[in-house]
Amino acid sequence: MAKERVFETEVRRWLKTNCPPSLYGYQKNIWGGRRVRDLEVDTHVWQRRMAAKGWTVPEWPPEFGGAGLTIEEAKILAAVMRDLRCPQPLFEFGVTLLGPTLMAHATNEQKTQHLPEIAAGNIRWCQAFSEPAAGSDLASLGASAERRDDRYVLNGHKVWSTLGHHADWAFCLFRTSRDAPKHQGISLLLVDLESPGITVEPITLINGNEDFCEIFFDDVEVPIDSLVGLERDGWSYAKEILARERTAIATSSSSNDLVGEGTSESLLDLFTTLHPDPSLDAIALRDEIVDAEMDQACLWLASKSNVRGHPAAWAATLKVFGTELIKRRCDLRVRTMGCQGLGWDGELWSPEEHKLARQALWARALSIVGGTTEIQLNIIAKRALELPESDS
Amino acid sequence: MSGDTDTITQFKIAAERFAQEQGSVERLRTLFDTRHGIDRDLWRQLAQLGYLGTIVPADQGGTDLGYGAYSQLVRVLSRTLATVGFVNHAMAVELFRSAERCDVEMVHRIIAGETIVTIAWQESHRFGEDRISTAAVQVAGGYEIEGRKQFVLDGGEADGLLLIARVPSENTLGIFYVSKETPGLTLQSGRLLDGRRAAHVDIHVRLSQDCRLRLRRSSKEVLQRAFDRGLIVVSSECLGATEALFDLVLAYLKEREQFGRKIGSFQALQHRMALLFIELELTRAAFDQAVAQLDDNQTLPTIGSLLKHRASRLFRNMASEGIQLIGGIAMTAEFDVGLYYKRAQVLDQLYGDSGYHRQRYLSLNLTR
Repeated sequence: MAKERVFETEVRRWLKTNCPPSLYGYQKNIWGGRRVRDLEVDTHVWQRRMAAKGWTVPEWPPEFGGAGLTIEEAKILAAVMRDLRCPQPLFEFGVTLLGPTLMAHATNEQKTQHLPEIAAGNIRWCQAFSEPAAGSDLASLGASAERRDDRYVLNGHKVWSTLGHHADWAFCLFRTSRDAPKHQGISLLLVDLESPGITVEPITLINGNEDFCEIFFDDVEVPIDSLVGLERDGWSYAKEILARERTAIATSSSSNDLVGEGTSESLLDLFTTLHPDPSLDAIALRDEIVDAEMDQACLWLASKSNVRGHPAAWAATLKVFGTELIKRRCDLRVRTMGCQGLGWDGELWSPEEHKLARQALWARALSIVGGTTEIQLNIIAKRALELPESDS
Repeated sequence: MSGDTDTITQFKIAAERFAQEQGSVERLRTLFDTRHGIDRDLWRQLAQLGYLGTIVPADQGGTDLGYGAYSQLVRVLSRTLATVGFVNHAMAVELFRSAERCDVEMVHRIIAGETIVTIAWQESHRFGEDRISTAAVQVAGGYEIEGRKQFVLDGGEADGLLLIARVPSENTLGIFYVSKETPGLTLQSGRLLDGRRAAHVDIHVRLSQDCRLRLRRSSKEVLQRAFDRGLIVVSSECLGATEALFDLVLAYLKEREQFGRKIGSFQALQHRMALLFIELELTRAAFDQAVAQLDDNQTLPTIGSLLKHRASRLFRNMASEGIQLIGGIAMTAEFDVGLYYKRAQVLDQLYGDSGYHRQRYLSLNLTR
């Protein structure tokens, strides 16, 4: 207990000294990667300082760039950062999605090559799993990795790689065997996106953003040690990564803030401000809003509980409930604003209103990314309800 | 609340075991054959086991285990549609304990199952906390009360009523205990769909001063507190019954075959059950957290409405889906699903439906 208090005091002192004042309350993600790591801006000065402390990945072992903190110490660090409003120093898929898989299944050489670079914010990663013909049915993917002497030669077309055009490396699923049954011919490979033969193209979405990319592989040669673990085990690694992704989305969509809605103003307050004396037709809208507020209150309560039942089923539950609720709520904001919620650009709307309109469009993707709602229902039916295998 | 975690855990295990041994939907079916709306034998057993004192402190004769324990008891017994006055019991206890000088003897009798007290609040076909015309006029030595209560749950079964009446001279609501023998009470009783009984009560009574509960706080605060706890108990009834019904429907889907396969293998039905599962899991998790906070004295003024709004709507949806997913046989009196459906209708109206609680949640939030 006393040891923890000493640690907390030291953490607090260090953070106050080393967190640039401009960053208190900073809301945006601070990414790493080749393109930004040497920037002399506060966000990246902060990132480099935290990385040097091992606090971008506090619980990772020191030899991989972490600080080797215990769970309790990591909680203390997180609590003090929250208290002082210090931002997370590094937002990185290499940390949240790939790191644990490398630690469990990679060789020591691979761990040494990649993990410290991830922890330092030097290399930024993206995921290259889905394909135009392999979305929900990911296991039917066709991009191939052909073994030739000491190399793999990669050919194929990946889609929906989040922010691929800003990434340095990608963790990918390729088919290494066409003879093996569908799930067993899939392998996890690590690929430098600067390799010759790779083209990355962003996709424009209906909200105007370009958050996802296509990645084309045209006879791309990568070393043999791009392979993680065994060739036939790629699908099991993929399932672990997808489960982490699902949990992350589940957690963020049930978080105790309104980040998913692009604003901090309560939905009910928005309605009350715009309709101080609601007409009968507006009252129907208000009823929908109160329902959504009550669902939100229940979600926040429920998300405080520990994992219940089958872990995949609990993540699926939060993911579906949370994302469907965000969609409903974003929609209610736009409807509350009426035509004031339909602005694409131009001076009829404030920048905030433009943002809310686009946020509501983005929200439609939440029930599709990280495993569609329908896939989550399948998971629940199979794992929590143990219903017999579905048709076909 | 003084009960420690171990005692509460033991209680919950014992309650679960009791429910497994004594709980049965057959008890409700038997009740239909009587002229009663309360399973008195069950109530007697609960009293003997000390379960009715869960929400009462030790110095007033209870075991002080709190609402976490009490609502768990209600929840597990509601799996088999236990038909007793769980909600009125909690509210009556809260109201009597809110008196400046608590009538400890009355509380003892209630906990012992000797005296059944129900709450006479509602005055029309839909419940409304403030929609009260029954008036209590101060006279020499007491009050004259005139009015009519409607759909008083267990009205005919109870030994006495806690009557909520307007006190015009004070511009407030008053709470009065009226024993059933009081001259000037006329009851009309009837059976609800789900086997419970309700009464309309015509009131032309004269009560002595000490029949009015003299409260430590305003009647508004006292009633809100008792109401919120009552709502948590109704929500427990809804939740327990929903859980059992879900299991029943799931089991049927795994067993029933049509078109050469188990009907539970059809994706459309799987998805409907998964959606119900999500609502049920969310409600369970929220409920457990809310009740834990209540016992920790972290009061959420809107928690009663939050839970009731969700739990009664969920039970209704589950019951509706239950009949549909199972099909024709679920429409027979012999099959249990219909009993759940009918209970869901009654609990929905009890102390305000979803729409009522949506409005209440809004009002409480706007005035904060």
